[in-house]
Amino acid sequence: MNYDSYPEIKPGRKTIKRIYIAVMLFIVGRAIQAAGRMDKTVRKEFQNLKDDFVFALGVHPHGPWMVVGRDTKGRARYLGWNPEGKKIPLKMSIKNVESAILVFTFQESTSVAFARNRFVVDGDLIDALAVVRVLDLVEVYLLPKLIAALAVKRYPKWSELSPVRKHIGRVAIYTRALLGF
Amino acid sequence: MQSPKYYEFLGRPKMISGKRALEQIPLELEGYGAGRPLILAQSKAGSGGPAGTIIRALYDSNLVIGALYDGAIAGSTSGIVSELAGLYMARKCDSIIAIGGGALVDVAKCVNIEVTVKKPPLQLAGEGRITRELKPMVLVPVALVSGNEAANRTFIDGMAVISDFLSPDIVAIDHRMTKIAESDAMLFAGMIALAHAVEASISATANPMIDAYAYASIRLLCGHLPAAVKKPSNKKSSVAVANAASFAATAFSNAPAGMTHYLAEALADGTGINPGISMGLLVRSLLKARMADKKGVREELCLALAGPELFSSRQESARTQAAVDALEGIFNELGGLMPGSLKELGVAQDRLKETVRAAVKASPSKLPEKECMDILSRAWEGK
Amino acid sequence: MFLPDYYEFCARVKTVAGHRALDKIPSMLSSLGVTRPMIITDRGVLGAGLIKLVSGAIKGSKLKVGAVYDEVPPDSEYKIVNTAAKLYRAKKCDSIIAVGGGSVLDTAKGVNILVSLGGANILEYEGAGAVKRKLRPMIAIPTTSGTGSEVTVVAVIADHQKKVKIPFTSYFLLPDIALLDSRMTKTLPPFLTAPTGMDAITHACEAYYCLAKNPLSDATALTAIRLISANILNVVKKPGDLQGRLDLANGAILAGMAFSNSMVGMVHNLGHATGGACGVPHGVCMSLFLPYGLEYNMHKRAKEIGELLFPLAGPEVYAATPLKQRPEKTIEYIRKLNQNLHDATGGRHARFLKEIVDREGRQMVPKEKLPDIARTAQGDGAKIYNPEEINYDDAMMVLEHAYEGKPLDRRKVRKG
Ligand SMILES: [Fe+2]
Repeated sequence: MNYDSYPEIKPGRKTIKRIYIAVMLFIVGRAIQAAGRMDKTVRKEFQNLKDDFVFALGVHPHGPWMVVGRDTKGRARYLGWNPEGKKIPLKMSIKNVESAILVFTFQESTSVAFARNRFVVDGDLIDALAVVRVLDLVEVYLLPKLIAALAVKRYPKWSELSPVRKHIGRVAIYTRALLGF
Repeated sequence: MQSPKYYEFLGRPKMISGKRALEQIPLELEGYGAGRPLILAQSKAGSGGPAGTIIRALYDSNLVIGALYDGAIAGSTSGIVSELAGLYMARKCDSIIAIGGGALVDVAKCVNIEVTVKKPPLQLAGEGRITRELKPMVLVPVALVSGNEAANRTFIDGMAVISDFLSPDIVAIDHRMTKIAESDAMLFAGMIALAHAVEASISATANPMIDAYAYASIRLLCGHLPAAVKKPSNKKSSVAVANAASFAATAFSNAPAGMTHYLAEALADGTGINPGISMGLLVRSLLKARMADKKGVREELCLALAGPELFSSRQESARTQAAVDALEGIFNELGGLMPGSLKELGVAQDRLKETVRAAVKASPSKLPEKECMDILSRAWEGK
Repeated sequence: MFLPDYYEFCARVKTVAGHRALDKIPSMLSSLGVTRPMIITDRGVLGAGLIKLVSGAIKGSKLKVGAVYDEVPPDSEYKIVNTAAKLYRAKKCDSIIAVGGGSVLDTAKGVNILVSLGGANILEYEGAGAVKRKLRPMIAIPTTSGTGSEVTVVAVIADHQKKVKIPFTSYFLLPDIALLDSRMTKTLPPFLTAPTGMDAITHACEAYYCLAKNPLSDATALTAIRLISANILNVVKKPGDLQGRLDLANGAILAGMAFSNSMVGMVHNLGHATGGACGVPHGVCMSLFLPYGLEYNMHKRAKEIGELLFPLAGPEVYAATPLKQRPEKTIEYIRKLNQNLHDATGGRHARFLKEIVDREGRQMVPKEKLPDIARTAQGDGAKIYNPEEINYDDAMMVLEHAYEGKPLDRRKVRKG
């Protein structure tokens, strides 16, 4: 057998899929920050977290990532795409790019992805659950009902989330997410 | 149901099955501190072969493929094993991924023995002679045609090596691989799984865990085997059959090989008929014989074959019949794809006696010669 | 048989089960190449004479027990792990035999990390993916038939000062061998046999309706329920029934295999919280929340819940119940089982929250604690795997029903 016919192979990168995920993470990260101002529930979730709370959500092992933290006033803050050099008490990584695509194309809801063991959680589970609740809410704001209903277990009833609040909230969150204030 | 006075059971492989299962492999290996696998992949002419698929699936990971071998593997011999072990060592690999079924997986396991224990695997033939963990091994099924792939054994130069450590660490089932199976390979794999599951469940070592694995295997086969054989490219069915075959292999790892197993092997040696096909025919005859014999069939097996609905809708005395009907149902659905008898396959009637003799000789435990003959004759006639 | 689009399943533990399985310890350990095990256990197990049985089985073999650590408290913590690991090293042990319940097993898993990978403090191994190597050989011998921790991949180790529970997760934390011997559970009194058995039934039922269900978790769950349901009441009435004990132990380990792969849902979510907020034993919570978990998820899982009637009640009842009525019948059956266990234990098996009392007869869950429990439940991971969403209000609603023992008013369940 000629060993040279069977060379070492370094698998490459899936650039387009990674860009898609990076964009989604950017929007979601900004949207969390915006929702933290607009939505009572999200604001409360962040206020309940520890003072120096920061979490990173991304893809193992080469990213992309988004980093969101809580400022001293208890507000949500998007802290960029780079987790390096930051102290991050909660790291939630999706095991690989393809699993992340399933999550960010909403083929798998957060809870189904958890049940399918797609996430590795490094940090306090109580905090991770709070983050999952926030993500679910943000998805309800960002996505049309048809898609969001797939992404969350229970789509909020109109009574719980008045149409006015939702639509105004949605527009505001979109604007803030894109303009970044 | 009642637990036996004593039993042992081990279901070693971690099962990963379904959407994007292949992409999980790098992180799983990372958990073992490994990241440079030797990959053995079934060769396939043209595009859509396993080699390209697996390379793409490993994109964006920390893993580096030490070497990917997709040359021909005709059988598991010391020659090819030591060559591939050499390739493994030369590339400083630390794990093995086997994509396919049959001899290719035997070779992968033997390479693993050679690179870990540093002895030719032939020297370790027999049972329980490997006493330590081998390198992490991932099995990616195409069609598990030998029934040993996910089990605790391998073959080298025709000799069996049996050890708990030979069951793969991970079985990753992904339709991108199972759908490339040929229709007849799917049939062989399904029939051998069916026979292994049934035999484990009626063996002397049957226990609640074997029952659970056999149940899962048989229920999946009842639901999916005919569809998978008719159209292997059917994602769901081909994945279901690979699952069933893996579960059956675990049941088989925990029970002694039985009558149909040795008869089928003896027949294969004498006639070249695929052991999966003859095991399928034999196991059907076995159940029918047991039913006629009043010895009956264990309730657990009847439940697995008939399923809870049919099982419970019958009187206790009629449940064996329900089980046999369900089994017959699989054969009927397969129609012309599954031969109806050994006779049909061109086995001469005077072959049967020597087949029984060879089977009895090959089995380490004593097989009941008379029952063997009875069952083989029934299978020959297709009863 | 249900095959999901994706699943994972791992139960890589050799099960050794029988009426005299302990006798196999010497040959099992020597096949793993070790001769000097350390026994880790607690005072209760020691006091019940169970360690004597274990050492009796080892006597006369080549094995020598290197050390016995019998001071694992019911809520073990990292300091205990560190101390036990020191003892292991001082006595030059080469393997571990853990005899006891969840706390003992978790401690032993922690000790194994330290003695295999080095270091003096288990907390250094915090975080996902820190354990990547095969650890020292370990045998787990459960002394209750319920928790299933002999087949789970996590060890939860507490830090009492900081008031945190740190989970360590790795497939290498699975013991090599789970050894079930009917003599080890024979002396478990009826009032403990009942809730631990119900814990196991709950594992199987929840595994069967929760989000990560798969063919193997389904098959092991169904087998588990058949074994336990057929025996639990008999064994509570006749604790010395060794065959029944063995069936329960086998059922419990099968249920453990099912739920550690398919996970658990609302019943455990509320149960963990009730345990945390009021100190109620785990099994007690399981028994009484199980019917509510089924009722709460009914609109999403009617088919699965109906199918559970088969292993619970047997083929005759199953066939006699029309398809549409099976889910209701399953719930009714569980409630009846709880009632029967209540009667058979002279009223010690609690059926609802209000009637749980501690040793002094004081009520353990006063009504004003319910909001506390509901809040704690929001931070418990089991809620993720439950088919229906569980918010604070949902949890409160269920708790209020469970407090009185009223069947759930299903109109009040918010359906997603
Ligand atoms: Fe439990």
